[in-house]
Amino acid sequence: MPENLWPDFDIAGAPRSPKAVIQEAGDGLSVKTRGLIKFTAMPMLIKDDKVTVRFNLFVRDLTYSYPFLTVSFAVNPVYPVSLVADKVPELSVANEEELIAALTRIFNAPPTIETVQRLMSLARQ
Amino acid sequence: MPPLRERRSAEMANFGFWNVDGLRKFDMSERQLPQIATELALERSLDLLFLIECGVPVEPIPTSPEEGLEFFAVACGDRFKVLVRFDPQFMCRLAPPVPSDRFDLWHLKLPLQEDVLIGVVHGLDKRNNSQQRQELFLRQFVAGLEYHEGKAGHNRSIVLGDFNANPYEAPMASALGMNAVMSRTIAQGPARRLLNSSYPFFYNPMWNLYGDEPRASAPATYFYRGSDPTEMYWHMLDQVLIRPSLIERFQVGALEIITAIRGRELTRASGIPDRSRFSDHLPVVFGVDLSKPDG
Repeated sequence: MPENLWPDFDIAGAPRSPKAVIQEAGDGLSVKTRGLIKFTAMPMLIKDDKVTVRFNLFVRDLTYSYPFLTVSFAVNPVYPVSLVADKVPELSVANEEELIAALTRIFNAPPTIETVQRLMSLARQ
Repeated sequence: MPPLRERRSAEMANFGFWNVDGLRKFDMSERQLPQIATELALERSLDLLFLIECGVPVEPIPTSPEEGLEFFAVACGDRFKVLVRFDPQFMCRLAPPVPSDRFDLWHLKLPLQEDVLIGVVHGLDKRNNSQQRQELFLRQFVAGLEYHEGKAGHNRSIVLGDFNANPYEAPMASALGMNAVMSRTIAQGPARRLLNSSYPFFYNPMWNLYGDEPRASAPATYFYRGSDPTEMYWHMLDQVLIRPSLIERFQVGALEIITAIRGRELTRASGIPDRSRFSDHLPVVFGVDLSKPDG
């Protein structure tokens, strides 16, 4: 077995992508809705050095994905990140801390709560 | 001319359509049609994909049903295949007063979103039909759409397909055809009046895609080298038209002629669509904001 020529990498210290941060933040929706609604990501589209990802509210009982949040950022550097959420004014964030604050604002916005409530009602019909 | 006002919304429905030239008899194993079409849907996060001239089977796209990425086939005529990323019950097929195997109509009613009417068209070809006949066919389609707009109580209509005519040709631009114009201002103005009859407009955003800039794009969707002294070479046969009621919801920036899917070029080195491997037409994608008004 030849010696591994690669150096040691700082895996824990590698910056997280905005997509990973948003997915992790959104995953709690399934718990809060007792599995009725899941926060899901569509495949990333990379075009002209710009990454675009759409996140949906997936209602399995309806076989329906409600388009909820569209995020775009450059390939490098990844910040600033632009967030266009359902019925919430467009936001731009400069770092991960601001991203989490923006997601908190979006998730707790009255239109978001109303949308989730209405999707849950539809799912239970 | 008012400035371009695009609503930025997360509630964008992503549409794609492609004349896949799949009615020809040839060895399908040499073409990667079903696979490449489904890859287009996945790469572009399409919610609806319309395949025109598609006589070959296109299986529902196998993806993760737990993530809502699954695609389903919608009922349609033999000339088309329609795949959607939601339960097909949300897209009800409509029967036009004068049926044709060259067009289809649906009423799309997605939960918590604005409902729209959708039509797909495969126009009569120039080789076997006069221009007047092409116009008459399209006028019959419009009459069927207007009938269902009346029943729906609105005209939020999207029409897409291969019209076998350029935006500047009579079948598309004439009041006797699609009556589709290049200007938002004209489309949003009063309907055209001719001999005491009113002809509502469509807006045709495909005018914005003519030409060879940016470099990675194509000058239009179809290449044909004719023998007439005046020859355009590139033809915009594949078009999406919208009623003026949807203009503010249509994202012109998301309207695009696709020349590559997941790194695979749909054109030959000359830039001409690679018919032997894919299709002689290029696909088109666009987005429409279907969010309900606040309140």
